[in-house]
Amino acid sequence: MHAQDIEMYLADLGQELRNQGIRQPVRILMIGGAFMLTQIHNRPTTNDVDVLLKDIEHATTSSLYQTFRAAARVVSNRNHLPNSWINDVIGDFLRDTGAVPEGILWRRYAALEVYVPPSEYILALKLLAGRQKDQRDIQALCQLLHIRTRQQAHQLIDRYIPNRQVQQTNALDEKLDNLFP
Amino acid sequence: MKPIDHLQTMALTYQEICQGEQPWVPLGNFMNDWFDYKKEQRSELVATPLSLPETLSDEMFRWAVFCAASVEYLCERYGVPCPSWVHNPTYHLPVPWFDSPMAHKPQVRKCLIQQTPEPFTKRNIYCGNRMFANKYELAEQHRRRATT
Repeated sequence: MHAQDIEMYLADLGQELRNQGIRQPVRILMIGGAFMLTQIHNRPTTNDVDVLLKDIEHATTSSLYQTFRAAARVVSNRNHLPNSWINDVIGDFLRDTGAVPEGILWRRYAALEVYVPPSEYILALKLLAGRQKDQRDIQALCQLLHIRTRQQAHQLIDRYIPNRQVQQTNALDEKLDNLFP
Repeated sequence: MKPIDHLQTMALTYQEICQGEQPWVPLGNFMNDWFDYKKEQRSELVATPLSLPETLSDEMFRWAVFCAASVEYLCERYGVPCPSWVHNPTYHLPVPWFDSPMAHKPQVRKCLIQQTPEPFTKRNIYCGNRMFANKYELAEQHRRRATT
């Protein structure tokens, strides 16, 4: 989907949440490809919108979460999208891995508020993941944030994911070796 | 976004790479289908052989070999019958490809050689073992770790 598609589907979701009786806006933090596309503008499309639900910690027991997924399904049916067009599968991992930033409000659509984190956080996540598919995003973010050395990269990761055990489990040293001189 | 009935096969993925897409964009779309949207149709995602262009640059050939290796690797790993086209001896690089921005560093090369799965190394590709790391399996592993 392109940037305007993302905005259109999020607006539809906000309205659907309102239709389902939600008064206090659901707050989501937008990450991943949708963040890169709408904030960094380094790519034309993304396949889904990765989000973290800011006010829902335990998805299995939250009625708000069930309402959110129901509204997302309505939007996917209406627009012929896969159910996971808005994808929160990675939320628990992010919450348990480090400090998730509050972010700043980017858009408000009826009963939905969309927040975006600092670019530094997205770079930290992409460095920790160390996947080939992220290399262009990493290049764009490093350029934007003037991250040129391995030490600078490590300092940035320490800010958001300070737990050394998490860093080790994710083979961070080796991933940074692959990316920096 | 592609419509819900769209199937991002490996053949289509390679075609899009040849048309000038950044390789990890169509490969990322393939991964989404393989790991989530179309995981019940994995055989269909890999059944059709790649269609190699008449004039084949070194880079396009390299990605063709990568796609063939990927299909063999994914089929082995996820218990999907492997299509015979991937075993065509054409899909072998004459010169090793170390896929890392820091591939000139000896320790990086050593890691790539040690970690790359056999379907890639036997075709002379050294890319490590994270090329198909994805959020679905990461979330699942995290859930399992949290409950044990």
